[in-house]
Amino acid sequence: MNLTRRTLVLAAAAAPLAACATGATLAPHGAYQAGAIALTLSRDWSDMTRMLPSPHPAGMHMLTVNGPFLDRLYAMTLEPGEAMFPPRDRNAPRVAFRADMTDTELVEFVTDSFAQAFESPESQALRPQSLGSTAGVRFDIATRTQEGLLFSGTALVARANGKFNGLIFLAPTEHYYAELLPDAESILTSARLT
Amino acid sequence: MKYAPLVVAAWFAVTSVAWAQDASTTATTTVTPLSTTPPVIATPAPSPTSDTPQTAPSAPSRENPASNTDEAGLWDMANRAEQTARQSGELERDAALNAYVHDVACRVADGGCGDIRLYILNRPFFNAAMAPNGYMEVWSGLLLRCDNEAQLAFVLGHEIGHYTERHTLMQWRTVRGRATAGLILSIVSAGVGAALIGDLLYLGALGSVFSYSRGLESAADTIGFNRAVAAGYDPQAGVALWTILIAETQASNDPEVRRKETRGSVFATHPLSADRVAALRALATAHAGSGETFHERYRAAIRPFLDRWLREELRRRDFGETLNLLDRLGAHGEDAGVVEFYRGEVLRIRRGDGDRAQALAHYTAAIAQPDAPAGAWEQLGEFAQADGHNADAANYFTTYLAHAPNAQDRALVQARITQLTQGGAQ
Repeated sequence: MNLTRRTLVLAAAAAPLAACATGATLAPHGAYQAGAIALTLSRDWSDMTRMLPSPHPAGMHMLTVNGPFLDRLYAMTLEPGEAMFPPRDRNAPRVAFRADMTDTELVEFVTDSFAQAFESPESQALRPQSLGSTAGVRFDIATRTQEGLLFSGTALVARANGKFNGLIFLAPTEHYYAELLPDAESILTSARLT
Repeated sequence: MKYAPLVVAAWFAVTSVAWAQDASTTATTTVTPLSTTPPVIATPAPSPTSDTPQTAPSAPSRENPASNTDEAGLWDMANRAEQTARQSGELERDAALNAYVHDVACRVADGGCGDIRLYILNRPFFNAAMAPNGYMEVWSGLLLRCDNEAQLAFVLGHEIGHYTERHTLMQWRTVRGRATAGLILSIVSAGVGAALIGDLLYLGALGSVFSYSRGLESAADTIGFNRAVAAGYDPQAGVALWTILIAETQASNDPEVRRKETRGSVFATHPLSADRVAALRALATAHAGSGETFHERYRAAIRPFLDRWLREELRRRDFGETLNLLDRLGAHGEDAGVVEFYRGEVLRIRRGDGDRAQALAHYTAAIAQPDAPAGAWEQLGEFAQADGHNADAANYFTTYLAHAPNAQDRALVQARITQLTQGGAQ
C-alpha cells in the first residue's frame, strides 16, 4: 500500500467523525420516506443520512434522537448486490443482499452486515411479522461495541420486488434502548412499502 | 467506535509531538532482557509433555524506562493499549483457553514467563503482537489457523523475539517523523474504527506504516525457530505455517490481498516472502533432531471455539480464504460435522455456479457426523422446501428444532413447519 492510498484509506475512516459537525437535518414527526418504505415518525428525529460515510447505498437512511452513538434507526431499501456498509475498495469482499435470500438469510444479512460495525451481533427471537402488507421477519439484536458497551436492537425486514427493505433500531442496552423503544415500535408498526 | 486496535497500532507507529524525544536518547533504566537470541539448536530437545508450564512464571525482567526517554513513550502507549484490551468487548475470557495459550508462550519464553501478559482477542484475522511492556495479544484468527501447538509456539517465539531484541523501539526510531504515523495517531485520538472495518484498518496501519523490516522479521523468525525447537517442538512448524498462510492468501477472493501476498490479509504486520520461508526451511533442514507438533492437544484446546470462530470468519465473506482454511481444518478428519457444515455455509452464501448442489452435499455429509451443528438440518430444510419436497423439509426443520430446542428462530421455523404440514407451503 503506497503512501497516497494509505492516506486515503485512513482519511476515509475519519470521514464519519469529520462529518459530525454538519449535515444533520430535522426529520419532524409525521410522514417520512426511506427508499420504498413509508413510515410515520411519532416524534422529531435528526436525519443523519447525509452524514453516512461514502460510499453508502442510495436507499439507506439513518435517523437519531440523541446522536448516533446513543441511538440510531436505519431505514433502507437495497437493490440486489448492494451492501449496507460497502467497503471503499470495489473489489473487496462484502456482505451483499441477494434477491433470492430466504427469511433467515435476510436476518443473517443484517447481523453479518452489522458485524462490520459491532462485535459479534446475534439475532434473537425471530418471528413472522409483516412490513405493511408484505410478509417479513421481526427479530431482536444483541451486540456490543469493541469497548464492551452492550447494545440492543430490534429490526423488521422484508423482501419485496427483489429488494431488501429493513428497519433497524439500535441503542445502548443501558437506558437508551428502553427509552426509545416505544418510538421505534411505533415506527415499525407504521411502516408500509410503496 | 472501535479504535482500540489503532491505539495498539500506535504503540508501533507512535510519533506524536508529545513523545518526540531525541532519537539518540536511549533507555536509561537497568534492563535485564528476557533473554537474548538462543543459539541454533543442533540436538534434540526434551519434549514439552507436561500439562503445566515448563517454566514457572517469574517476575518481570524489565522495569519502566526513564520518563525522559523515547522508549517511555512507547511504554505509555502500550500500557494504554493493554488497558483498552482488558475492557474490550473482543477479549476472550475463557479461562481454559487463556491458560493453554499462556502455557505455550511460557514454554518458549525461556525463563521469561513473568514478562508476558497475554490477551486473546476475538478477531478473525491472523495476528499476534508483543509490546515493549510485555503486553502480548493473540487474535482468534491466528488460533484458528495454526494446525498444531508447535506452530503456535513458533509464532509466540517469533513475537517474543521482537520483544527481547527491542525491535519495536528500533523500528520506531526508524519511522518516527513519518507523516503517516502522525495521521494514524490523529485517527487514534479521534476514536475512529468499527469492528471488522477497524480490524482491517488496524492491519492496514500496521502492515503499511510500521511493518517490521524484512531483516527484523527474519531475525524474529530465527528466534522463534530456536525458542520453539529448544522447547521440544517440531522444527518444521515455522516453515509449514508460513507456507499454508501464503497458500491461503493466494486463495483469497480479493485481488488486492492476492497481489500483496500476506500483507493486508491474514498476517498484515508480518509480510511474508519466499526468502523468509526458504530461510526457515534451511534452518529446519539443518536441525538434526525432531520434535513434537502436539496436534491433538492443540485441537482439543480450540475445539470448543471452532463454531464461533468459523461464524466470524464467514462474516469476512472471503470465500476463497475460508474454503482454504476449512480444507486444512478437515485434513485430519477431525470435527468433520463442523467443517462440512461450514463448507456448506460458504457455498450457500457464495451462490456460484454449482455451489448449491455442493452445499447440499456438504450439509448432508455434516448431519452424518456426531458433531454436526443443528444449523445443517435447518439448511437442508430450506433446500428441500425450495425444491418442493415439503414433507422432507418439515422433517428437517423438526429435527433442527429437536437439536436446538432453544433456537432463536424457533417461532419462525415452527411457523414454517405448520405451513408445510398443512399444505400451505410457499
